[in-house]
Amino acid sequence: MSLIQSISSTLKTWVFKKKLLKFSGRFRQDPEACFYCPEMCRFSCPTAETLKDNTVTPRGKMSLLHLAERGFSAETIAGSEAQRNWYLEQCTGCGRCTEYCVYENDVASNLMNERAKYFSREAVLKAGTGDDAGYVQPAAFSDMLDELRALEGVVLLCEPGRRDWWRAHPKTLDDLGVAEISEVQLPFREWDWGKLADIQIEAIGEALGDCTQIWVESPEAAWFLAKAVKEDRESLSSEVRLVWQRFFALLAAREFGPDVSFHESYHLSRLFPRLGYSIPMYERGLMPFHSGWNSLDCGGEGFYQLAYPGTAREIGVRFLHDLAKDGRALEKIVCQSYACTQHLHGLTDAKVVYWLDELVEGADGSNS
Amino acid sequence: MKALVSPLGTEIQSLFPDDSGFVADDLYTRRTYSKDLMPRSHILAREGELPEPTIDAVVWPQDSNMLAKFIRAANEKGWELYPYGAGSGVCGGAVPGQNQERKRPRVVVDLKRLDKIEFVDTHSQIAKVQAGIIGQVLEEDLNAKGYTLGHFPSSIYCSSFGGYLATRAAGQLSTYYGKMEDMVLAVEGVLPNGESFTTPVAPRLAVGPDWNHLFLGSEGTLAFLTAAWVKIHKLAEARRFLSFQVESTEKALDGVRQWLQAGLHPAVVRIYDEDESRMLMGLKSGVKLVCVIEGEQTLTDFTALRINQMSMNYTGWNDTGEEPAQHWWSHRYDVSYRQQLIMSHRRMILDTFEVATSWAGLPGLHKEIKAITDEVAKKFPGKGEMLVLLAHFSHFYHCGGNIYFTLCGRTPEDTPTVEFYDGVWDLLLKACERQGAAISHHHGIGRLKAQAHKRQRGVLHDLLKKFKNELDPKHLLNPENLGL
Repeated sequence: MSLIQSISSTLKTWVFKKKLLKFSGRFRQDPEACFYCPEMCRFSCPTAETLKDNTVTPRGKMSLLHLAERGFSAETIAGSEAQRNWYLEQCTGCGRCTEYCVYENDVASNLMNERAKYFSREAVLKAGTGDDAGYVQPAAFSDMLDELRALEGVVLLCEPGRRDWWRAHPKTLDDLGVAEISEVQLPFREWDWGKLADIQIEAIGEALGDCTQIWVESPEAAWFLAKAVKEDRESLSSEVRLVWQRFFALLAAREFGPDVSFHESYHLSRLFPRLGYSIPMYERGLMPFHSGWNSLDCGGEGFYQLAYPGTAREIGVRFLHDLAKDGRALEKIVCQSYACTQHLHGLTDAKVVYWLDELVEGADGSNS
Repeated sequence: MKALVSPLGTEIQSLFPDDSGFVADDLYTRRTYSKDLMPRSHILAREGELPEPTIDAVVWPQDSNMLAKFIRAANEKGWELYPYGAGSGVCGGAVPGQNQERKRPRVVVDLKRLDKIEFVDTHSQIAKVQAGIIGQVLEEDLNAKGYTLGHFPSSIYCSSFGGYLATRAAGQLSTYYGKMEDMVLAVEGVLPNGESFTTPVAPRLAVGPDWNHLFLGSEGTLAFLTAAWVKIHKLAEARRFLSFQVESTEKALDGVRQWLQAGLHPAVVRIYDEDESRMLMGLKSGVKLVCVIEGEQTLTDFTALRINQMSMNYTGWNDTGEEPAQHWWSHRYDVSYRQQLIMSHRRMILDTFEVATSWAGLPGLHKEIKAITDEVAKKFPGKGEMLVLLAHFSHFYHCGGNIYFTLCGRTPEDTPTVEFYDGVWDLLLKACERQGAAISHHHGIGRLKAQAHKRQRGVLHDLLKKFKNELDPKHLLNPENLGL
């Protein structure tokens, strides 16, 4: 090789590695990555897996954001703002696309942030105090504070409609040391969307001032209390614990021995089939070699149920249809999300069970 | 639910009132399904205004009966039909071309809802698989039963089984497990008149021409393939990794030829030519060769032993241990995703070209195609032009092998990128034709290579067209694909 050829080759190698194997301009973890990607994430997405539609794969949705960045209007891209938004809403918020992205792109947050931009205030519970000019003080917020102020000692904050189930399990309540049960709906969605004022968050902590220990049934509500109220605002002194973790630890210790520690989603996948359950979550990609059972992360929890009930139902119908067509008759579906059980009731003859019920029965079967 | 916006959408939906999500015709659906992963589509979408959608609606049949009913209706109405799986094809075989004349309504048929493994016969080691299942999902489902299809394209996460059938695909472990045509016992599909058919299911038969070979590789021009009976294998008991640094591409090829002609079948053999070894592997001289052997324990051990014995006697070969091959194994799907980084840069082109010929023809073919960089420089002399052509050899046979070229170039300032892209492809295909080599080893023809296909096949292409005319007289199935 001549000297000129050698220099030329070295230069080309440098350009190739240093300039071209990066996204244009700078290394970016944003929608541009998705636009050019052959989409390894397709089968991580419960919506895309269920609907089998390329427009609703994570890439399909992120491409909308990329084209908008390049200056194309929603009308040019999708016909109208409303139609563009429809695509963005075909997302359960499960976050699997982020886990799978080969470019380490936070796809789920990108999509969630984009949705948050256009969410109408009517779609969420408006919350605020007289001191916060941005929001109107709704009666619902002050009613919630009143209910929280009435609580004291060791309390359980359960999902709406769940109080009677808990009352029917006195042994479990004794085990947790619970004195009072409340069905209060904490505004964790509004916090997640940045629509809850600091002063409101602090007010919630202060209202819970007489509680010594708080058990919470919903992971989102527990996260809101532990992170936003206790850690960030420091207005809450009592301990916040997620109730299912206790039962889960009991079951895991029983099944795998006391010294075994798993990542949550991983040990769920191992534990439930061992107990003889079929669970419609944790899609196959996450645990490819352990998923001999029917699984789907329908993402029915939280704001998804609130904001997109139509789509959640559609996904449920499609999922059940596919299973039936596949000759896999379902006897029982166990859902991690209470909201999810509400979706599936009426769509199937199978028994639909909230997983906490199973967990409590399994760990502490003498309840009822 | 997507709202229907055109009379065509409403008319199609009325055929299946019980399946409310059967059809969509809104703008974003049409945009999305107007392109596959052909780099030309990316260039058009990347530079300038967004190209107009080339299709009018998309349908999602739930099963082959629905598909047959829809095809009968389309035949009656004169709707053009384009079969679509995961849309990962790189030759434009699944969607109408940007310049394809619009004659009739165009409907893309997305087959991804036909996504089941209908049965697995572990005694005979046969599975019946529907066309719409994604490759990785199929593989995982078989793995859960202790089996593998043995088909591992680098696109496995984003490609469908139907696409493999349509293009006669090949996976990375094909030297051991075979290509799609080796794996398929029989296919099931729907003809352009809506009639369903199944080719004979047998391990081998002598009852006239092989029908499978007529449909495999027909890229949706002759029929919609809805399922296939395929061979499956027990999961490999053992896997061995070997790597070598060889003085030159020619010496590496000659050594591998001797392995294959001695009857050895390693699962993977990859020879990276001098440029690719230097630019991507960091070698100062020579070429890199990685080899993976897998299967039953004793056979795997024997194959590795024999390959090592033979290689020790080759001149210019140095054993570099297991690590390079293991490294390739753990990154074997990365390349598809790295390529997209380059495509995000304006004026850049990137594509792959996989060709095949005999052992005797491989060095000449390699040289001829590499030489087009000079031709490109003459044809596009503008400022800023650059073209790098890397190559590796990755599928081998008793009589020859393939070469997988990766071309990466920057368009000169005064030339439209698409014009540069088309010009480079024209030179590539003609160089391949001059050597009498196959213009595709496993990506297929699509619209990208349709003209070259016609030139190269001559009277046989005319014959194929006559057959197409007979089977699909209205040319409703994927018109103009394969040059038909």
